[in-house]
Amino acid sequence: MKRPGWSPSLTDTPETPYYTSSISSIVRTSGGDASLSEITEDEGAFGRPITVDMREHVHDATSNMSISPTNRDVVLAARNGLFIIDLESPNAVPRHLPQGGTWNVADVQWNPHISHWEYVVSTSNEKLLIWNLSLGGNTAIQTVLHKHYRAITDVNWHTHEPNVIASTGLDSWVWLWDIRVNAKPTMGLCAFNPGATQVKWNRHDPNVLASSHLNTVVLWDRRKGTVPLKTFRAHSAKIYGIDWGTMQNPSSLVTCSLDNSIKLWDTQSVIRSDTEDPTPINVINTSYPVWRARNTPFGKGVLALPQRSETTLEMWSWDLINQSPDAPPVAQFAGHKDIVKEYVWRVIGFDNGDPQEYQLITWTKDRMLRLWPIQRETIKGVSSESQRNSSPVRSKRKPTSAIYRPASFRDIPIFPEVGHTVGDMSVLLPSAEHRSASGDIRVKENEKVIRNTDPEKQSTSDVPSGDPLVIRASTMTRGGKTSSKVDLKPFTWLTSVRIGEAQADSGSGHGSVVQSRQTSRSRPGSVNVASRSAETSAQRDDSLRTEPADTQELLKEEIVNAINALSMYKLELENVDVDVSRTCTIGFQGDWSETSVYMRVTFQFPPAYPLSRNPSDSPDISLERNPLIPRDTRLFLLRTLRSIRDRRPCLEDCLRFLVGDQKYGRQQDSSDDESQERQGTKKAQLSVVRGQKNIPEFRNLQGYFGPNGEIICFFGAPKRFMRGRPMDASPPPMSAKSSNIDPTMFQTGHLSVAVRKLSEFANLHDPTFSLSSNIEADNVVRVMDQLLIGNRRRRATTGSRGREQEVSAQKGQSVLSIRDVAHLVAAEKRVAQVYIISTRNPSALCEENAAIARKHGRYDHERMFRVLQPLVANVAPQQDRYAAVRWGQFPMARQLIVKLYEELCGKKDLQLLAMMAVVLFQAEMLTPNLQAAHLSQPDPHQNPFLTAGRPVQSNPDYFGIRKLSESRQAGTEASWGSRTSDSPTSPVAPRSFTSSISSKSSWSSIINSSGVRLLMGGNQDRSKIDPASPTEQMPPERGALPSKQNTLEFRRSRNSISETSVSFLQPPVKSAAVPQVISRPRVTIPPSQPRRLTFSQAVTSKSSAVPTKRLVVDLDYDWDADTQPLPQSLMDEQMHKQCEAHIRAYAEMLPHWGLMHKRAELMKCIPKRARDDPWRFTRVIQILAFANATMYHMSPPLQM
Amino acid sequence: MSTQATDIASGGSLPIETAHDDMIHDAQLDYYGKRLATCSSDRTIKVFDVVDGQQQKSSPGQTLKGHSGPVWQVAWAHPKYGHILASCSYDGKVLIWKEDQQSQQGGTWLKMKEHSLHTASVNSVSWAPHELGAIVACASSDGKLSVLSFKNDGTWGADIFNGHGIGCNAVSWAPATVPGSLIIPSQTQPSQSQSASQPTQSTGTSNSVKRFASAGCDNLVKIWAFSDSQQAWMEEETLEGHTDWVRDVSWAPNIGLPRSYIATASQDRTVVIWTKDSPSSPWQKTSLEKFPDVVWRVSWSLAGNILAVSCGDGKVTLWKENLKGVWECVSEMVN
Repeated sequence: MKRPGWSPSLTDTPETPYYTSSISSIVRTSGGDASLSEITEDEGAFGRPITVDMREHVHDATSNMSISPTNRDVVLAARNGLFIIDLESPNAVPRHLPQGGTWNVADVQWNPHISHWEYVVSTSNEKLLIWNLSLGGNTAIQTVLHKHYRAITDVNWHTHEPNVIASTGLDSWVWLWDIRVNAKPTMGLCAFNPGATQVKWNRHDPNVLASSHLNTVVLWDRRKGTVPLKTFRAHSAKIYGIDWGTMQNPSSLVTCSLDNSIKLWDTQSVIRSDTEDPTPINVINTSYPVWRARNTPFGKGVLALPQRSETTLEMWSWDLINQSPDAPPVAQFAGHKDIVKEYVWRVIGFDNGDPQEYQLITWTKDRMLRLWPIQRETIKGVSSESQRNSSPVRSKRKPTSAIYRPASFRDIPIFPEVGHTVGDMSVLLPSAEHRSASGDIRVKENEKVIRNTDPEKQSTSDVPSGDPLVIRASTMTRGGKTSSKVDLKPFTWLTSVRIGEAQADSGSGHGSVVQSRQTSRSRPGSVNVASRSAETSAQRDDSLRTEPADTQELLKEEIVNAINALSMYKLELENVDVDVSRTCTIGFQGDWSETSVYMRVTFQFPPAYPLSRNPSDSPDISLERNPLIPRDTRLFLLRTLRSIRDRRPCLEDCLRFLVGDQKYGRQQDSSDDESQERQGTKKAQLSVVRGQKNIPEFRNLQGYFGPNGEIICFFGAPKRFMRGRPMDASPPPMSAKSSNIDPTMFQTGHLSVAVRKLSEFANLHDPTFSLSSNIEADNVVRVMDQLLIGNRRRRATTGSRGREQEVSAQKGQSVLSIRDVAHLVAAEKRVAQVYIISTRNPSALCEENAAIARKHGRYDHERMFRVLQPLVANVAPQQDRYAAVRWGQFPMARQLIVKLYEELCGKKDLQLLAMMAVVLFQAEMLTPNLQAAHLSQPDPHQNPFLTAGRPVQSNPDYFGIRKLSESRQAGTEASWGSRTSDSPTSPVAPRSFTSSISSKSSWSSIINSSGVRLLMGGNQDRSKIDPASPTEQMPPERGALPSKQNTLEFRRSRNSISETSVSFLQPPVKSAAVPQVISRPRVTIPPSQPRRLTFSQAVTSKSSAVPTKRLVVDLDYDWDADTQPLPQSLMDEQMHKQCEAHIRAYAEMLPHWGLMHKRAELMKCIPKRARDDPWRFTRVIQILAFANATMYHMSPPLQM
Repeated sequence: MSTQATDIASGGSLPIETAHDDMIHDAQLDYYGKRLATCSSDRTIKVFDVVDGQQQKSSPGQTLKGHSGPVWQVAWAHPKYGHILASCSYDGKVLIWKEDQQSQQGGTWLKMKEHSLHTASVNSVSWAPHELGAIVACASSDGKLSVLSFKNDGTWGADIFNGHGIGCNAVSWAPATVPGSLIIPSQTQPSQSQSASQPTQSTGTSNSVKRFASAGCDNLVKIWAFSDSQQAWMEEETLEGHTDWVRDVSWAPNIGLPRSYIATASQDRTVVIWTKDSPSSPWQKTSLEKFPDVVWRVSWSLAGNILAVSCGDGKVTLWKENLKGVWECVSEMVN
């Protein structure tokens, strides 16, 4: 509505309440005055200072707050949305309207017009968000207005037109918007200056607005367009806040700035003046930069908000300042723990349009909301003399009529369907469920407990109840609940709100409204009087308000404490209303039927609780009806609760009883009650254990490995009832299968067990080995012994079978057994004890360990050693009779080793892996040079085998071929053994091949495959020189040994050799060198020969080697380092590393068996690197350990 | 040989009577296999000496009392720290016990430390590899995992963090050596890494060797690694695959092969073996055959080649991976 300029405005303050009838139809009309007065007196927390701790809910700092035009709700704007707190029920969980955004909110303002009271505007960087709080759906944002191109710093609703907003920002534009027109702003005003900080509409003239830019103020008239009325420099530093004057002086403007001053201007004179630097009417000098300074809604005062470092708000009176520029502030609001970011005024209680009481609401940076009552004296202090006398603020608050009690936006307003009368529906529907704004489920009690469910009383804080249709509507119109990111549990919220918190500073009990500050230049007289009287009045006020405050707080504390104490039981505080109706509903898991049941109990506390010990002031307790709970149990519960509730405090005890906590066990009326309870609680406790949804069902069966290849297992209570099964102190294994009563049959069972064990032993170590009958014989004896023993026991216990059965069934659960599965685990302690690790010669190591393995029955180990031995056989220190030979001569070695290694890796046999690694490392260490040059070298040792007078070996026999031939002979170990004694130089390699073939190892697979060809081919080169050089007495049997089969093979392979020799990558041997070798022991092979061998050469060598029959071995070699061909490294880098890792891992395993000395030996095998030995500190006591049988006297180096 | 009728080396098993009043929940042999600790629903822990699988008659077991609820698990610490036992219980506490070794016979167990940071039942407790120090990880039904470490100055430090939403069931430490490398962590010399032949040591979290896996009620297995830069435990990986609560997780000991194995047992009646071929490759899963009932526990042998699976149908089965990579059952044990 348009008004002529500068006419008196209709209203005093911008936040004049203005009720329309449509709104009041939503409002519950209360029954009678009695309830009303009740409400007004302990109303919300109007009279008392409240502290609301929002820290847990609002995670980032919000700096903005606004109050609704009805003064009932406060909105806090944060990055993640808006929070609406109902000031009358601060203990109720605030409503959260989510907003996805990462921008801090610069400003938020609730539409000050009651007619449009559902609109709130907030900023999001350069956008304006218009929220409509009555919107349902996902979000409450109705519109987004975007015109600024830089961040918005201030918004301001028009003081008269409810749809108009002015916004301004860092881009120095002021945009005027009409929210009915969404697309574009209606007008834009630009100051072309640095960005604006504030914009404010004049409270009186609808066309005038002011904006502040840096340190200048620009006055606009929107009818004038984009040329300002006046631009004037107001301060010397940045202006933070501006505020137009109230009715008394509508053209006055208050500005505050960084330069520590608040100035009051008369804009009319400023406009009329020509200068850019007018003088203000009044200046207040503060000691701090002022962030906001606004006129008070009462009198002529200004409340200043410091920008930083100060936490006290100060209120000045302009009149006093007029009289003396250094007048002290009239009032101070101290006690904030952090700087105050925003404040709003709250007015309550209108009597014919006159505000009755004021409240200051401050929001601090530490996210605490505080409500300060304004004392009358304060108001007087800022009022002018005339005002003080004429219209005193009423001393007693009159009850306001219901029509003026607005609804809170904390709940989503429901627009009732036509035809339904809202209210009283709850009477008709016994247990309707509905959701309140915060999404809690509240179950209405049935009409028995009507006191709880008084819809009138609860109307202020929840949606209309009882009407299912309305309820459904409510769930649909829930605003943004589903996407709320904020977890607002009533319990958490409850702990955040504190009423009547005692502040530090002043002497008064509540709040710390310090009336005056003594300064040197103050006027002591009047001010002091004011202060004294203020204090006394404050105290008087306190006494009036102590009672209700305390009980409320006490009740809240009690609820909080009870829930905390029983946090183990996961109680759910579903609904709590401490302020108005003093009820709370708690959900819990209780074991009052066969299974544990989720139940709800509602407590309704009379006002005098908990201070009064009168039984009539005990709470009303009602249990939700649950079909799973039998009637008797329910009655029992209610009866017991009734007896418990007379205690003070009773909530925790009641809850303890309900959840079946065993700590609950107080005096009972009757003994049977007690025993019943004990049982009940015990049962309840157990069921709590089981019913706790997060405790996994506990296991009573387990098999766990021990360090020595044993499994320790227990099987809990037997699942099947084994009827007639005789329990024994030491039942043989697998006896579960023999569940018969008949003793004879049981013996049969034994036999079957015996047979099974026999077969087990057969498979025990080596799946292919089947020859060691002597060992099996031992096992059979063992089994037979057990049989006999078992039989004897059987006879003894036949008579007492029945009794034992029962006993042992109970005992069964506490019995465990240790079973040995070392045969599967593969790593064995007893062989670990005896394996030799450190010898100089890796092949001797292999041999000895092979023998040891055999002795202990570990044929798989033996096989490995035997396979490995020839591969390392040719490495020996110089002093040894085994002359050192290079690796490269036997190119297959590497591949074989890799193959063997892979097999062991597949079996994951750590022991063997480590032993193999040891062998390989040793071999490596002994070779003088480790360069990867390829070479070939005749092996004098191998030579004896090469052409041993066999007709087959017209083809130069290589080491490999010879081995093949021998290997195909089965069971010739004995003969070989003798042979080795004859020929000291012959390595025991042949034997290994024997066993390896028979054990179907990868070796045989190599042999049988094309690898053989390679083998042949490779060795062929080398052996060109062979036939002549070595000499050895070949045992005569050798010639006789090869079987037909071998011959055939050889022939076949021989043929293939010729084909493949060319392709084989072996360094060639000059055929010319052949004859030389015969005479000289030294073999020189130039390493830089082309690799390929021509066919002719091969053929030549073949032919030349054929006639040789005798081999001469000259053992006195004199190897010249220069002429030595460079050795090829046996393992590649990766394998090398892994081998070292194997050794280390094995070394970690050895201490489990107590073999510390073995471990020490083992660690020495690792080639020289920095060895980090975690056990180094135990070296000192290794000797002790070794000497001492038991390990438990090791003094730990770590004193704990 | 013939006198070894009842010795376990022959495959027989002698039951040990523990004299617990209620169900046994865990039994663990110590590092040397000479002592046995059992814990039960009767809120006590008992320690016995065993030799060759038999309970020694000469020294009866000792009973350790201190919990106020069923004790779920016990774990022996490495003997270099002394005779230390950790136990966890329904009452939310983890107790560390130490034996006084004054005399051979009269060794008594004293409660050395009580750790009650959890607000619900602690379901599992596990000692870290001894190279990392005296560190114990606990999993609790309040959804949190905590790591307690005994520091050099004699105090205990505790890290507690959210693990699995509804509850955590088990923890298992990774071996201290990262497979495929030779880094052996040492408390005093953190930069002991050999310069010589460290291959692909990817930077970032794979370098840290303080690592453990946790099994939770959210059907997930998570791997946690300690980040030195942030001095906190960070979730490194999540292994999804189970369809019900994961009851147990066990990280196979490292024998020097580059491959890592983790076995997990779940209430969905499956056991999944997770393998990782190198520190930078992802985890791949292989399931064992479906079991007839829920699987409660998995345990690797010391050399990491056999897996013992404890199933609710009353059997403990042993599984081994054959050369083709298929897991097959090699043995079965019943009561």
